[in-house]
Amino acid sequence: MRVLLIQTLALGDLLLDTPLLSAVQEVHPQARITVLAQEAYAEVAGRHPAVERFIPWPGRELAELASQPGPGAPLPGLARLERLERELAPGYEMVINPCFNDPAGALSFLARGRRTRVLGADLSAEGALVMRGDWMAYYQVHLQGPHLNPLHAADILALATGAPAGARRLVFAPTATEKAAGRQMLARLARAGRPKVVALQMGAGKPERSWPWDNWRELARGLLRRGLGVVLTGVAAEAPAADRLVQELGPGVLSAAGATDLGCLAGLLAGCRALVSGDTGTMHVAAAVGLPIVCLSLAGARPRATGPYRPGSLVLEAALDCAPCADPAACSHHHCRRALRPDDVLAALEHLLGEPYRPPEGSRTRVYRSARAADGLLELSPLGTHRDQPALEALRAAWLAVLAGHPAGPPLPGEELRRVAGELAALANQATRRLQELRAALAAGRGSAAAEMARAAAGLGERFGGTALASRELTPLAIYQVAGIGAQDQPDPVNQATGQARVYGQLAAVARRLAGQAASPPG
Amino acid sequence: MSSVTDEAPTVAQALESMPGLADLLRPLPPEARLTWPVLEAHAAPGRPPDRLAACVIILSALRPRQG
Repeated sequence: MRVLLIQTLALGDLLLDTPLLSAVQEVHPQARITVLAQEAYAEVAGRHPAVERFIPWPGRELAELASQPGPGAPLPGLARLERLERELAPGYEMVINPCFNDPAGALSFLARGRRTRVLGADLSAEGALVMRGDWMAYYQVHLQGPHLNPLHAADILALATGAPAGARRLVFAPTATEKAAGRQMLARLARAGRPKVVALQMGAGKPERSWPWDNWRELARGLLRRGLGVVLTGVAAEAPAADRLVQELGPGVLSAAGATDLGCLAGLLAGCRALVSGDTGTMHVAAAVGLPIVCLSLAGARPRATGPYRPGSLVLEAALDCAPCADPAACSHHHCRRALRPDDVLAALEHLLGEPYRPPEGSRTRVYRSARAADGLLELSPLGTHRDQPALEALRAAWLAVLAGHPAGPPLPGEELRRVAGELAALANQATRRLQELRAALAAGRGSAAAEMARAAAGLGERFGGTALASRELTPLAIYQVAGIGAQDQPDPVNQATGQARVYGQLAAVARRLAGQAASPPG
Repeated sequence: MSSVTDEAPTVAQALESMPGLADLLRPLPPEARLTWPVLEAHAAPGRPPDRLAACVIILSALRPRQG
């Protein structure tokens, strides 16, 4: 079986796909897996035992070619893509593409044949972007409605392959040479009397997710006061900020920014006690190495979905109503960057290193701990309480029951919420029945009846969406309805009705479980 | 009035120097000019996609927009 994973985004995105690659191999032991990803991350694919072949994604080259002015400007880009298509050599039984954007859908289209199963982005028969596969539709929901997604992206993607829930890990291990190189770098701090080292990743790919430099300085000072050494990681562009910190704080701080490739970074992190970072590629490398992490979840970072995939890590989020941010580009205040204070991070780090958790006075921070649930999937639970936690637990259990066949979990907390969920279940049941009747009418060529039933089903769908959107806790069901129905796009109206009935059937099952009703299908 | 796009090669002219693109460019008539507007119209949603449309969707997303 030939399988292609397309992942053209950042390092962290590719690392979060590594459990998926393991899951494909579990389900299809004979699978021959090819990965298409950015050339800089070839090592991630190359070190995964399930991967047979790596093809570099020429995104930068294509961007340059597409930007050329003048007559015939599109031609060189078309020629390069034609070459890439030949390199891909279509003929895969399965194409997996977890990115949800137009070029991702077009890439899947180029790589697939008529009989290829696509999981994730694809183009529909009408040329529209669709997300194929139930878990992939769910994944798209988490991209659009992050507040109430209780599952980690790495788990969602592994489940999308059909593999059972289980304890998986990110895959990227340093070689013995890289570990030795890391130890050698850290030896300087040991010679300065600081054998225990905490790594700090100050920079972030997205500027709005970067914590202020003076906060990092205060944090580093706190670590030095506790007798710990500090190593600063990062890419070359982050080296000046790191050098400035070394200059200010002296020999207890070491900068490795710009001095490591991916493997050496993993080797360096393997020699540390913990990492403090935003949601960055370095954080995911640390998770793969097994290093415990304190993650500063700022702006639009979604810690439940893309936080540290390493049990025992901690996530800090500003205790603001707007966190996580739905639209960082439009935010005028960036309060989250200041709400997380250096003493919050120090308290979390001390807890991570074995001390009881003592929140600083006046803290405006929510702290979550990652742990493996009984089914092996990663869970993020608050230290303390959070208003959404009961709804998240109910949603987690309901989706896993419906999409992965888990036993049903607890219903939603609160009588009013359960009532709304019951109403949604009834609406989804009615819509399912209407769509099933519509399919039968279409198949029998009863045109006027089909039109009437299509109108009735659309009306029920609108009522379903409106009711779900009116309740914050149940918004994900409305998003799933839209995303799921989009993903079922089919040129044949009979197949379309079948696909839509299936989505409503899933929604009815989820809503029934949330309402605490019996799980029997509609009569 | 002459503009840059007026001078873009036609499919037939392009295939003289890049015959390897014959299969990819097959959906367009030989006299069609290979400009962004022509290609983006071919890749517009609502039409059954083909390989050329997929390539144009990818390149368009990577292209800096003007205005």
